[in-house]
Amino acid sequence: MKYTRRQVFQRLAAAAAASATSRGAYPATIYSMPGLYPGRVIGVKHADSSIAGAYQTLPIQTMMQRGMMELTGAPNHGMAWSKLFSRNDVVGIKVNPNGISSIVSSKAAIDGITQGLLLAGVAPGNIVICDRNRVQLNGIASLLPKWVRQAAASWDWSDDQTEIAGYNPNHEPGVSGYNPRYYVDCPGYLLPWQSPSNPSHTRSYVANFVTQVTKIISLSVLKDHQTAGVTLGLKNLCQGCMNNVNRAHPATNTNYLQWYVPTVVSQPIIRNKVVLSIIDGIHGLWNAGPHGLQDFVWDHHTMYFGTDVVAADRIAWKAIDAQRLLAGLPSEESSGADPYDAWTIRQPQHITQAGLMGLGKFRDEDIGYRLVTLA
Amino acid sequence: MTSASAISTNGLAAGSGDANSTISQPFLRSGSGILPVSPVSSPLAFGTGVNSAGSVVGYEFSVDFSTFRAFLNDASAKYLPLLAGGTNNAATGINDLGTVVGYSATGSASEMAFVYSGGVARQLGTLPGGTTSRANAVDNYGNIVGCSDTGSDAALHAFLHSGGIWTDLGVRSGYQWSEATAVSSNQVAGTLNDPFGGTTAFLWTAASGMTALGALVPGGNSQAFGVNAAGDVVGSSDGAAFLFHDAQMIDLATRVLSSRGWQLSEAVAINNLGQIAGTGTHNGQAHAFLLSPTALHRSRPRQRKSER
Repeated sequence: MKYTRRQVFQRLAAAAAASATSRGAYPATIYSMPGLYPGRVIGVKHADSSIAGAYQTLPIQTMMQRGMMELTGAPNHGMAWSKLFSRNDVVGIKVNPNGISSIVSSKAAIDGITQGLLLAGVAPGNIVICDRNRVQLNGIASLLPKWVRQAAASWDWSDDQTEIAGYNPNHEPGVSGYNPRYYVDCPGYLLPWQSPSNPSHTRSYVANFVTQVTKIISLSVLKDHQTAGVTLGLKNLCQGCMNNVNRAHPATNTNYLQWYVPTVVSQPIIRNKVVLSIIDGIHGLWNAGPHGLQDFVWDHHTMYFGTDVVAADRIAWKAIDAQRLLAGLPSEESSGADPYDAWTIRQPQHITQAGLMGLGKFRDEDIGYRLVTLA
Repeated sequence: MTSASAISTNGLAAGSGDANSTISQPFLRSGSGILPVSPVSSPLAFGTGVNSAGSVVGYEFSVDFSTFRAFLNDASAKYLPLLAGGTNNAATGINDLGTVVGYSATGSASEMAFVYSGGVARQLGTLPGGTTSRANAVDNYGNIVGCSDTGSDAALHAFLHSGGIWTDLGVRSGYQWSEATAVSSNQVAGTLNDPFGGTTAFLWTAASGMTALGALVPGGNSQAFGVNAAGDVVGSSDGAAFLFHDAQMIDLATRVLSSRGWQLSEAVAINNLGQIAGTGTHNGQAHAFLLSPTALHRSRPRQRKSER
């Protein structure tokens, strides 16, 4: 049997994933991925959630309340959040601050989550907005409640973020770094200048903010991604909670994200702390992600809710593909480079692979999706 | 939906709730029913403490959600002053003398415990070498408990501040940090947190040190939220309210004479009369509850001569 060059590459990359090892135990709970409601995804649509590109607070608050109630089966908003969080929790909210202003985490969504946590009894000081990058987080700082704690693992972005203390060339304050006790070792995935004999090159360490919270919420945005295909809950958690992640797509024609994303997210300290995924699809980005161009943003007016990160990603992935089809583009899975996306291989199959690794439901027949239209 | 936060020495209860639960407002539960508490000008506010005079403390968020402020509702409703440099503060407890404790925060930076008395808020400080602290409760002797970092350990340690003396209650082996949440006559209750998200309620006394209380189910988790002078501790263990009494952790639901339709999820406070406030669900709705012991089951706390 003859294999194509691409098939050979894929098999080698899969073998590299299979050889990955991890360090750092963290026990599972009833909330651990896929969480309290495996396969359940709620979409809530409200036509007034964005007007002329501006987020509308009241409709979005209503959407979030309804989404959480539908997801949990609770009769009211406070009880819905109490199903997942309690007064003893320290909760990290992994936001997405990367991109043009219409496709980053919105103030309305962040406020909706923090208010829900407060109703569940979580103390204000025990809510932490998290991201890997202080510079990017600063980009949405004006949207964050002034009282809320923030944690960034590194100061800025670089190709090779292997510093345990977090990439921080000018020793700026407010960088929390990574934890040497928790890592995944993937010697098969390296940037061209990285060495397989250097542990800091073969390992991806977990951000300290992950180790310092008891539960994590992923707040992602409905976006195309030129290497991951889509950047939703899984991608938000993978690239946002570990260092040395660029090696997963080391060149425009080389991509390991299909295996790397689920390998990282399956680390016990991540999969066992993530209890809720909210995908903000008020605006969606169907091409040129993750940073985006306004020409590729559409008003989707929908938010997705699930404890099952994989199932929620699968539903949102289909929404992006549907929009690409309307625009005359191929699906993410079959798309390559175009004038706006330089990478030739996109791998939304990281969602499928995550399902195969037991992180959640990925087959359509196993997903119970319900769309609630409010207006 | 309502949830309870505190109970006074004479059985008044405070908490938060609202009819549709999209917002939260503090309340006082007295013999005349549930009363709203002011000052509240925001849709999101929480009652956290109450004393025998019916004074309620808590915190409320600004309408734009950008700041939160501690409030005290006694003879006159007021916001408590911020510590120097502080932008937010929250009150967490009040005793029968009107002494209020809580914490003040500077933006998104660290917190500092405060004590408010006689119209003045002052910084409580930290354990030796620490930079951040939070006060969670004060009893009628002025004993204050909470958590603080230390000079040698960035992790938080439960503390007791009594008569101007700081006591580091420590962190038991196998745990990462601790927080004290309740105090009564030098009985201190709180929670130990392990590195893996596991929690265990504790009771601390000067004589016995820190005792882990276990959980309702083997290998389960527990958190302590209240304690009385007899050393009875209440809290939550794996979704059920517990009472720790006579060296045993008991599922509180098993001690309730008429609990039809109720699931008691957490007990948050217990007074010296043995009354317990908490939160549970009744016919699917979350409600605060107040339990009073029958004569048969009433525990008799040890009384100190100077008990007020």
